[in-house]
Amino acid sequence: MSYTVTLPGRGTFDAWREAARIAISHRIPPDEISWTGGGGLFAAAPLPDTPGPHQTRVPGGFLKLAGSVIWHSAPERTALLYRALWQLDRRQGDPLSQADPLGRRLNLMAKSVGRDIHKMHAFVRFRELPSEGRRRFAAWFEPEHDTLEPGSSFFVKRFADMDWMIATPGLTARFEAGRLTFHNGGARPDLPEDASESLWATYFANIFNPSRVKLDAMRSEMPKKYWKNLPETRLIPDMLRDAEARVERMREAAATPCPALEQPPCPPATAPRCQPRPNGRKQWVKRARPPCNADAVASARRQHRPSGAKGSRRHV
Amino acid sequence: MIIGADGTDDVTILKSSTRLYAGYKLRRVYYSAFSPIPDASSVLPLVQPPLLREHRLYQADWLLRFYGFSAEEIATGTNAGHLDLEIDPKLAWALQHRGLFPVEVNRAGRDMLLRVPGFGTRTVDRIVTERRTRSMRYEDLVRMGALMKKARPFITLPGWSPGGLTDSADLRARFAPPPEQLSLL
Repeated sequence: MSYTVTLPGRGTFDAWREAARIAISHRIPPDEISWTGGGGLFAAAPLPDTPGPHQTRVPGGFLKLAGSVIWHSAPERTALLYRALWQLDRRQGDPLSQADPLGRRLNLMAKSVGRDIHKMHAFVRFRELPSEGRRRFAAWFEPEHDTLEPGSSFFVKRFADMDWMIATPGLTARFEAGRLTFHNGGARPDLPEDASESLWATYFANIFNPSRVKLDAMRSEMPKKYWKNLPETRLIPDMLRDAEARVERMREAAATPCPALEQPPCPPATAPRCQPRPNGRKQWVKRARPPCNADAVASARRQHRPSGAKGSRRHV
Repeated sequence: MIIGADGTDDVTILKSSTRLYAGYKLRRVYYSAFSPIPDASSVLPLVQPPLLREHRLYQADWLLRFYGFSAEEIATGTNAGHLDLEIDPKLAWALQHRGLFPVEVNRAGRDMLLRVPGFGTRTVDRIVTERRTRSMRYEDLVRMGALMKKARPFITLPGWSPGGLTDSADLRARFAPPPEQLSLL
């Protein structure tokens, strides 16, 4: 190792890009750079300050891939990215392709980062803090990778009219008066209880369908590593334990008959409905109908009709 | 569409989906296994919702939308109009049409690669891009994320030849889950 690079915790991508540009311009091979700070057995020098004579151009796909892989938690990510840049420059293999061993590894890392950002958008649970003026919220989240920095733009757009803070072990994002700033991370802050959490738990328990339990699908959508910061997951074990019994109870209860539909049919009409008049013409007679259940049946049918059918009734 | 509340078979359901996609330009059809609700009408079956059947219908729906299959082709792999619950619909179709296999991965057209069990649309896209510059080998497919356990009997390429596997009589048994002992009590 002849060179060592120390990258900052924030703005890592731009710093890596600058360092990689200088290194490749001097054609420093990937084995000669330690990206993790340690220089090995011999003392290592920092990279030269000024760019060298060699210029390289990379496809846009590489920058997109690097911009995602750089947030991965694996310490070797920066070294792997530089190796990919070296291979692109030397035209050795295709480190962007899934068929290339390095390319496959980088693509899997990028996918893992993208998934972690997606899960953060779904699983950050804010708690309201006391405030005057703009409402204030705070949340504690433990992502798998360093995804708070690339993932925070979603929260800026979504909660632009509030002040909020998302704390993670590595980094804290604060959004105050429309400005996003990043600070050091730390231990889990003490957040006050939020009344809307029990409302959310009630809703979560009530949309649970005990006859549609699919454990693998649930664990894939809601991986267990995020459970400890999700208040609703405390309800899941009990709901699952009771699910089978609930379905059984429902089956045993069977259907209760609709009282209106169960009445006997109307008695048959006996009197003739039309009688001859003295002038020979027939006349319809209005006749009191014997009391029957027909009206109740009709009104029960009306109630059972889905609401969408109302609009299709035509005037004749 | 609600699945399993009446006796409609899967092929009829897939044909209605085809009609909805082709005739009404719908983007998605959703299938939902009928799930019993408390105090339901007595004509509805109060049984466990057919979740696996719902899953197979979604797989068949994907074949209709992204893999160039027609409902009639999927029907050739069904049992009396119902999709095989033990193996996926593409594999069921391939087992009925073994004469078309093994496919030569480096030469076959995109439409035929899409019909190989274990190859998804992304794998096929990657193969088509990659083979422009070089010949694909078996290890490349493993790396790309193709399900080789499923694809092996149906493909041939440098590094792999299925031999008699494609036409072997016990091919279905290799994929179906092992038979289960029912409760004796």
